[in-house]
Amino acid sequence: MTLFNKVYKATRIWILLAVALTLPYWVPNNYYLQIFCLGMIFAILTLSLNILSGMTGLFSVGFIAFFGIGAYTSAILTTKLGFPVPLAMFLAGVLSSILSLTLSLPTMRLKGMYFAVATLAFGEIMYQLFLNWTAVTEGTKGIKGIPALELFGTSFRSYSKFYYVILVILILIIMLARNLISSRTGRAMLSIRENDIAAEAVGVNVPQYKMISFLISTFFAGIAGALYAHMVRYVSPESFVNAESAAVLAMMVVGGIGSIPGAIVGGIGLTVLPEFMRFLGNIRMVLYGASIVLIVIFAPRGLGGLIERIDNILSGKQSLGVQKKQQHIEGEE
Amino acid sequence: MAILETHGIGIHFDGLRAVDNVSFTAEEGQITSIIGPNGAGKTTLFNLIAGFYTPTEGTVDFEGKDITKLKTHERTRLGLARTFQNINLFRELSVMDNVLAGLHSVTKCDPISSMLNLPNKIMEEKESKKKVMETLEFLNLSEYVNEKAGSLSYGLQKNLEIARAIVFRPKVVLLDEPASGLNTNDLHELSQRIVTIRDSGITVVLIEHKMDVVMSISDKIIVLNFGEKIADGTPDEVANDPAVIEAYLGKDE
Repeated sequence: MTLFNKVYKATRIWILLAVALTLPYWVPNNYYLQIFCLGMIFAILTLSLNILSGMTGLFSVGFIAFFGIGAYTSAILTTKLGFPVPLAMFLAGVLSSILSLTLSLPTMRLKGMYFAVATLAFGEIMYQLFLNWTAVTEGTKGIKGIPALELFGTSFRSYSKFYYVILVILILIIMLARNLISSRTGRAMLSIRENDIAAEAVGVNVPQYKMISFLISTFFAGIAGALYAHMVRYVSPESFVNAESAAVLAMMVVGGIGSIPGAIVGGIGLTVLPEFMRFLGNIRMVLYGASIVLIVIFAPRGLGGLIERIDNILSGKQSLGVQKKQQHIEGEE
Repeated sequence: MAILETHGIGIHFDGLRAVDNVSFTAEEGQITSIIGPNGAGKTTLFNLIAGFYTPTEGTVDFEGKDITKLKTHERTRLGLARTFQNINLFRELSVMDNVLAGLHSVTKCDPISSMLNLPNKIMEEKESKKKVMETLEFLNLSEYVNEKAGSLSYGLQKNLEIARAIVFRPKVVLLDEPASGLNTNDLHELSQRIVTIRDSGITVVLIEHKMDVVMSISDKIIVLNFGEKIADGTPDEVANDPAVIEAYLGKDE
């Protein structure tokens, strides 16, 4: 391990934090900051999906529904019922969690494709609900005038302030997800993903832990939705169409299934990328699609895997590939 | 005292009687082996005992209580563990995590404390890791603690299966062909380990084809053929039983 490795290892988390904390000051304009905030919200959503799909192996292709439930819940509670924003945001997570039971209970024994199709249907049902339950959701008109978050007398109306709210919640959820992975609950989920027969054999109540995974994952997704509602301050059904579920799925896969740093990079990256490519004109969505395909081909463990590798090299845990292979062969002899 | 008993247990799949009217008892603190030719229904019998299949007839008793209606994970919680013949590890998880998962039924940490790293979680994790390290040491797996389970050699994976099953100190462990694919050296080591497991107070029920292992360590042997029990007794009794000799070697014309 060289001096550089040591310095890098000791400082990497602080450098990252410093960048995150000063970001609003060096992002060129408000528009980019808004995109970045949106990216972070999608990072939270991707992280949530990762708990359900990456950790527990339940592939959901209708996940945007829970984001929508969170957004609508907080929007309705604050505009129509006058709830304070922080409470409404929390309840958005709770309701999203509760409604997940209507999906998790009937799909308890479904696996793979059958489960995926059920989640697709759930996503569509929720979309139709947002669209047609006009008495509550205002239908296609959407809900306008959602209040901005106010806390301790400060209004978080501007992006440069709301950014920090998102950042704090993102960091909190990262920590919770990390703790979860190395815990009894997390291992039960991972064991279901790996081999549900063996999971039963070690005493995991498989249906129960699938349900717990749903509850946790959709709680975070609901919070992400509420953040979205209070940032954009307008919600309409179009934001929660099934194509958005595919986008979140892409964020998870590009980031690397099951990887926390991957979920962050995937969520932010795939939100920001199409905006940065705007100067390319009409061809940008083609390039956007192509870049996803390239990442999936050349980084099979996603961007998260790539980051982990670079991190290992910079901190001296791993040298540049070739040498490691030699060591391996020597070890076998 | 009988810790595990089946009473006339049986299961048929579309007319095929895979296990038919089998009654046997495993005495506490003993090694009970189940042998029989291929397709005799040994693994099916394990699946019935562990709760993976629901029997079409008969009952399973554990510590004198009928557990026929309990689910697999509920039986594990009572102290009934098993390994698999066709290795069922959590391949992408580390050796440590595989064996930690084996402690699921004796640990308590709830999802909220899990996520918040509350003191009860930290304490439990520490104790769990200690237990895992002891078990890994017993099975000579300590040096692989951070390796992925799927990257281990076949023999080591077999050991890891045993580690995951015994780490929580079950009352009974069902070992399904732990010796298959092992070389002669490893066989001897395995036999000794199974005896050590028994002597540590875990009742062992063993399915095995390797006769030298079975004959040298079993306290009692049950012989199955075409789903039915054809003999049981001590190794000597079984080895001299005409029905057993016929099942294995054919009838003397």
